[in-house]
Amino acid sequence: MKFEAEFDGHCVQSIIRYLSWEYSLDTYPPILEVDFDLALNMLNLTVVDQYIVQIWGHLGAVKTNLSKLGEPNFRSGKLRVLGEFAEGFSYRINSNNLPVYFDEYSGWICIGDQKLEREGIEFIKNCVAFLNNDGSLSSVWLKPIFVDK
Amino acid sequence: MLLTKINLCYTTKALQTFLILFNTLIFISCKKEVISPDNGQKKLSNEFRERLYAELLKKDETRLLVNKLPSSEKLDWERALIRISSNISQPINYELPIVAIDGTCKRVIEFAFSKDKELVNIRLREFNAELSKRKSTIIPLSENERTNNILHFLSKSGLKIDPSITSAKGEKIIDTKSPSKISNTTIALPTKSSTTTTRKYVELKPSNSVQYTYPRPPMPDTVHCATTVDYDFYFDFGRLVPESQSLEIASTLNYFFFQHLNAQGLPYGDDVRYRNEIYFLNNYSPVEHLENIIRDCIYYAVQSTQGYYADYLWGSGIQYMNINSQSNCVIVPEPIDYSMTEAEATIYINSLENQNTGDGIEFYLLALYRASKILNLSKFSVANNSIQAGPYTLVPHYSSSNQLVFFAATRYGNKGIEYIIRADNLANFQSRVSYYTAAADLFYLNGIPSEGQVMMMTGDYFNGLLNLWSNSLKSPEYWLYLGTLYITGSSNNSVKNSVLRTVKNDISASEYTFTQTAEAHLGDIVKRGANAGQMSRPYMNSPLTINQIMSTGPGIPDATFPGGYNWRVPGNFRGSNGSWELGINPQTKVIYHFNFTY
Repeated sequence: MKFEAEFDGHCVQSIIRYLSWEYSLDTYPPILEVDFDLALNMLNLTVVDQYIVQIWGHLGAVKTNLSKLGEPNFRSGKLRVLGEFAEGFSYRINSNNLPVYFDEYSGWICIGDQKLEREGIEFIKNCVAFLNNDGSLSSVWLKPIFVDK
Repeated sequence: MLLTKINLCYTTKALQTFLILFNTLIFISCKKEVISPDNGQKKLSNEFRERLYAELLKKDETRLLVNKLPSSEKLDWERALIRISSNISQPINYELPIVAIDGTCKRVIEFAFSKDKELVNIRLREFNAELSKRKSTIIPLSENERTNNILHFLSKSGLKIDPSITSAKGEKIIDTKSPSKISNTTIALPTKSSTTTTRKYVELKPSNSVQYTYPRPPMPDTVHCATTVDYDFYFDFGRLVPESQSLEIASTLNYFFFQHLNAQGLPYGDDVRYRNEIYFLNNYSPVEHLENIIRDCIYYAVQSTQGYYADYLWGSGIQYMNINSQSNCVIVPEPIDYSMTEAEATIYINSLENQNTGDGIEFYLLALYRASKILNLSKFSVANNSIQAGPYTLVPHYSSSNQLVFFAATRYGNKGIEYIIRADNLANFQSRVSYYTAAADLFYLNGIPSEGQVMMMTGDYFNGLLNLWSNSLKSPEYWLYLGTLYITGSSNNSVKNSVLRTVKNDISASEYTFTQTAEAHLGDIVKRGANAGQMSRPYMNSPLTINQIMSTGPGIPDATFPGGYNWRVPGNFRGSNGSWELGINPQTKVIYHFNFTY
């Protein structure tokens, strides 16, 4: 699955929250009308008009996989998924789950490769994607607001 | 001679158990022969009258009443009345009518007797009542005739009666239309020699050679009533018989009453507990007719009793009569064939459009429910060239003009026809047979849905209705059917949005619950494309799907979610193969992840 970063300086201005008691991530306000979804681990990336506009779902093993993560380098923009996808379906980005890391000091969560060799794209506020050279997804970095019950 | 005068008072109870009040007056008979004032020729018929006449002559010294009545008036000794007075000193009065030539009676000669049974006064007084003029010409029915008529009436109420019973050839024919009006119609019966009867109408079996022209009575078959008529009345008369025979009059009166009633040919019954009640099974709602019958029966009984005791009983007149009736009626609709004709069924099927999916494929039970008439598929002919689509056998149905109208989809089991597929939707069904199979599995999850469940399911199609039901519908079938709606796909956005709101509001009704995040996205809908308007994940409301996924294996324990287990199993959704992914705590039934991915 290929992606394209459009650095136009305008990302989705939503709030990403992590609900600690149920190990889930959501985006507020939610977007309920979708074209299709992409699946990353147990997370759903909502796609509307070919752009990823939302992320939500179960994200376990956050605080158990502590790691010293660097500060990602990114610019805001839009993350576009390439290719044709039928609406109403959910497409898995990776056949296997990507590793999850959490830096409790910086608050960043990394899903995927934690190496920071390229410039990321912040497609949702505090949500950054890093792409490989071939346009495939390398990692997603999140800095949610942790919410306890 | 012992002269006995009887007053009969029929109060509220029973012709058969008349309350008889009688007073006995003993007079010394006068042996003198008295000439009646009627034309001066006719002898009075009994000694009591002779006694009265003698007393009258004694009082009426001027013969103003006895011999000098104007020619337009005369004394009527046949219809003399005996009254019980409220005057204690003169408790019994005997009233001799003075009848005008036109039959009216405006005054009577009153003979007042004391409590000691002495004649104490004779006077002329005004009379405001009306003398009975009725004369019965009723010819009573035999019991067999009455039985036949009752059976005839019962047959009109839908009972199966042997034709041999309802055919009363050569028997008396009863006019049930108007029993108070006796018809002397002559009817030719199917015998070599015609029979003349004084009544008409009985149910006769039609003959091949003879057509009967007599009219049937107007008995609408749409009304069946049980009418109770209760009655009481009072009359009095005097008689010259031994006191020991007093009750004989009562039984005679009773005999004539039921004789007349039986002659009406109406089915009736009487309750032994309430002897003054008669109940009828009538096929018409107006009860005035029945009240008139009872009134006629009373008049007939009184007059016939007087006639029966003509030489020993005199004085008549019904002093009081009260008749009430109450009907309980049911209206039975005319037996109309509510089945669709072939043309109607063809039009209905051709216009068949699943309001959810927009196609011409519908659950048979829902199509039946929506039809304004009975959708009788037997109107169509069936060919042998059935088509197999997945587990379904599609049987083509043709009109009488050999036009292919629809396919009936059946499969294993005893569910009968599951889908009706409009002829032009065959390819659609074939290409998406897996969807329709899954939908039917849900539809028939608990067997053939009841009418109420079908009603509930069809209700899903109407805008806004779900909102009304959002807080009331909690049955598993409802949630299952929501799954079927979106497995088969929908094109009606307003309906879908309504469903979605309901789903979001009532997710707690499901057996399973979701994490807050997952629950927030239960109502996600597809914005565009072939599945536009549908739920993005309709399976999330399908316990069946959840159970099936969990039944594939023990699941993999989740590293973080307390008690969580994860499943990832191959499956099919919206016609494509992929993987079911489920993360759930089986104990708490909290779902934290549910997806179908490709």
